[in-house]
Order: sequence, then C-alpha cells, then structure tokens
Amino acid sequence: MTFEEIKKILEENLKGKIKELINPFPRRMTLWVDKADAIETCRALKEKAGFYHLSTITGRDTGDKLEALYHFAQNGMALTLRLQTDRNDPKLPTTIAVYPGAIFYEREVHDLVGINFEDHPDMRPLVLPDEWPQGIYPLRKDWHYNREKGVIE
Amino acid sequence: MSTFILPVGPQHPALKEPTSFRFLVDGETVVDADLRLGYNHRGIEKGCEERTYIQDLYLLERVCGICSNVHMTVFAQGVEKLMGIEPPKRGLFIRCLMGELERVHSHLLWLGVAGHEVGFDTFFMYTWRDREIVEDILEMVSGNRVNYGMQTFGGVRRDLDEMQIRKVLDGIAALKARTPYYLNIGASEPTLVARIAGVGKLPLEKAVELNAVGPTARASGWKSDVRQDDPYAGFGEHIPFNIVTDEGGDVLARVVVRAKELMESYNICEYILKNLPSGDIRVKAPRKVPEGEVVSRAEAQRGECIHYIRSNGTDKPDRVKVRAPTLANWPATLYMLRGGYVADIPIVMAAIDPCLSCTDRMAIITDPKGNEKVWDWETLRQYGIDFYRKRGIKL
Repeated sequence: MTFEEIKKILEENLKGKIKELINPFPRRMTLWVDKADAIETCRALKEKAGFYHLSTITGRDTGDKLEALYHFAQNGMALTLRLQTDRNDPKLPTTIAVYPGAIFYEREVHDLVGINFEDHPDMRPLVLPDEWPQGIYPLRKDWHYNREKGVIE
Repeated sequence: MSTFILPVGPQHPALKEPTSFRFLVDGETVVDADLRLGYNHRGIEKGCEERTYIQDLYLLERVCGICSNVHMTVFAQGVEKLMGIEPPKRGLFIRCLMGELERVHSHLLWLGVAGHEVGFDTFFMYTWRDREIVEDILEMVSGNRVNYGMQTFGGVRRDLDEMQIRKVLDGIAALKARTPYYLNIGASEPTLVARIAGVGKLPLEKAVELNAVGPTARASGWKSDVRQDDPYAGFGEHIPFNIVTDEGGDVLARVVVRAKELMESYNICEYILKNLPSGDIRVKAPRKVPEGEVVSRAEAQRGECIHYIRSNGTDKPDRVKVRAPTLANWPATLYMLRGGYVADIPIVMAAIDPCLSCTDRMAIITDPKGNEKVWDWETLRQYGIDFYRKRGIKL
C-alpha cells in the first residue's frame, strides 16, 4: 500500500487520535499517538492497514521523556509507531495481545531503558545479568560506562 | 507422569549467541520451553553512541561473524539516507554482490551444520568443502574471509577488475553444478527425510503471528523477503530473482528453501557480474550527519535485519538500535520445540540457523529428586542420533 492509502485508512479508524503522521523517506512512515490509544492503534494497524509484521521495538531516552518506537512492516512500507511516557513513572500498555511476537522485544526494552509494560506476563530480565542492580538502565542518557583504568596507560 | 526441567546452555562465551533454555519435559516430550538471553550482551548499542559514525560502522560489523556484511550494509545505507547522499550504481551492485556471496557461504555452512546435527557427517564434509570456493572468492574480493570491511558511507571500498570477475564467475559456475545434488539429497534421500520431515512444525498462521523472518518464515509459506518488500542497494535497480517458499513448515522445508535460495543467489551473482555498471564505486561522505531518524532494513541470510538510527547533528549518533534476525525467530522456535522430542531439540534449534549450534556445555537433570547428570551438546547430539537409530533411521 502507498502512504496515501495507509494514511486514509488510519485517519478513518483513529479519528482525532493522530498527533503526527509523516512520510520522511520513500517507503517509510512515522505515526505518533498518545499512549492511551496504543492498543487501539495497534489493532487498526494489524487488522485494517495490513501491518502483520512487527520488526522490533526501540527504546529511547529523549532527555525529558522515554520513548518506545514500534517498527512495523508490510510489503512496500515500514511504519514506525511512536509512543512517549513520563520519565518518573515510565509505563506503557503491552501489545502482546495484538502482536504475540512482541514478547521478547518488550522484555529487552524493559531491561535496557526501563519502561514497564503493564500486564506483560513475564517481566524477568532477558539480556542483563541476574545480579544487575535494580533501577539502573544502561541505555538511558544519564548512565555512562566508566572503563576501569588499565595498569599500563 | 511427572514433569521435570531440562536446562540447556548457556555455552561458551566466545560464541556469538550463547543462550540458555529451560525445557519442561514429560518423559521424552517437551511440554514447555523458556529462554534466557544475554550471556554475551556486549553493549554495542551504547558503544555506538560514544563513537563516531565511521567507527560504528566497523563496530557493527562485529555484531556477528557470519552476517557481518549485512550489518554494515544496513547501517551504511541508513546513514547515507540521513546524509542525503546516493552511492553510484556500481557501488550498489557490488554491495549486493557481497550480500549474496555472504548468503551463499552462510547457507552452505548451515546445510553442513544441519547434516551434522542429525548425524549425517558426509553431507557436512561435502557442503563445507564447497563453502571453501565461496570463501576464497570473498577473500579475493575483499581481502578477508569473515569480516570483509567492504561497505562504507557512500558506496563500497574495493572495486572488481576483469580478472576477479572471471574468477568469481568460475567459482559460481562450480557451485551451481554441485548444489542440485545437495537439494536432491536434502529433499529426497529417504533416511534424511525420515529424520527431518514433520519435525519442528510451524504453521503459516503461527509464523505470521509470532513474526518469524527469513527462511524460517518462507519455509512456512510466508512470502516475505526484504529484497522484494523494501528493495535496497542494487535490488532497487530491478535485479531479477524469485522468492523461494515452501508449504511444509518443518525442518525438511527449511532445508529445501535454503538449498533453492542458494540457486537464486548464484543467479543474482551472475546477473550482477554480467550487468555491472561502469563508473565510480563511492561518493565522498560528510563527517557530520544532519539531525534526523531513519529505519534501515536488509535481508540477511537468516531473515530481516533492521537498524534504527537517530542522529543529532554531530559526528556521533544519538541512538542506534540493532535487531538481528535470530531474536525475531526465537518466539517461533519455542513454539516449534513444544510437543516435540528431546532428541529433536538440536535439529529444531539449528533449523533457524542461530549461532547456537556450536554449543559447548549443558546439564541434564534425570531425576526430580535432584540427582544431576551433566551432558554436553555432543552427548545430546549423539543421544538424538541413537534415539532414531533404535527406531530404524540410520544415517
């Protein structure tokens, strides 16, 4: 489907909920909605717009907010869904009811950026070690890795 | 009958993807499977934020040894979009050629590993012998057998001359003559088929629902291939090829799909070399990248590889996200393993082509009271071979 066709479908199904819908490069589009509308948006994307494939989820620290970018794909178009959440209480609804393949991606984002996915059945660490301290998220901008000084400089 | 937990892995930290599995088994049947990653999490995404773009290019090449070129390609073409530069056509064609040669070496490697896991070591020797042909080609073209370092922002780093083109075509012709034999063995040799047909079933609707990618998805009949869905590099210039799919959804189908994909890759290589445009191989790229964000995708040999890159106007990226195809295939693998035999674990895991096949160490608990017996991967592999041998399947 082309950008115009997908735009029409999304505007019909998500009336007044779209914050931003752009087409920055050929075969790429970005959709920004409020996190309260996340599940409804995912359903519309899968059932109406034909985005069956969730490629991955990127977690990002924008400085004052935390952001989750869901990368969807179909033949001829890759769509990025942008959701933002507060840094002090980072919560997003889980999308695994719509996209069961999101289960590991959400765990990875939880590990590295510290976004809690509400109602996710299994929020154990996936990529960080078991002894990793609680509340420290390495992909946030305020975390820096300090390499130990070598014996010989 | 009571169930117990069978832990598998993690293994040697030098391997690319050491992974830990917990299987809930009831006798010989796997009831449930659970996964723990991260034994080799190297923090490459964080590392990228602290390095310049050109340093990141070589760091990202080292995400994986087998699909090194594809990570370089994905990152380079994403950054090129942000920079607003377009590589020359000759550069794009050579970029595609490297991708396909890498696919050939990886699929030949995989066919050998699959043969080894089911105890068919002759197959392993044959395919790995032929893999040397493509490894020699890669060494001749790039100077390296594994991490080629061919891609850069704005094109590729080395050109091909007439003599090299002739040698690559000779090598491809030799492989093209031998591969149908492997396809024939993989698809119709009765003992091998008895071992892999119906094993690790993944129906089409599950493959789509669990977002499987690459040959795993195509072997379940899902026609998805980034080369066609989202043409990149030379594929935007209409290099002809067919997407190989199979309706089987089992390990047999995955063998057949990969063997047929080899033939497609040979044809793509020949087309590229016979239609190689003349001109430059790269354009000059700026050091700083304007602010923006981009999603870049390519078809690795194991499936879709995707990078998300965000730039902030400096010479270092703000965020780089990498998703290699193996992670996308884990949910589907856990589904395939459920309901199967313990003896089928090695081949089902190997069938998605993770870098897990060279597993080193695992423990097997044989008694729920806690008497533990440690098996290594070799013992489990032998157990699988003996299990089927008792049932009359002798490879």
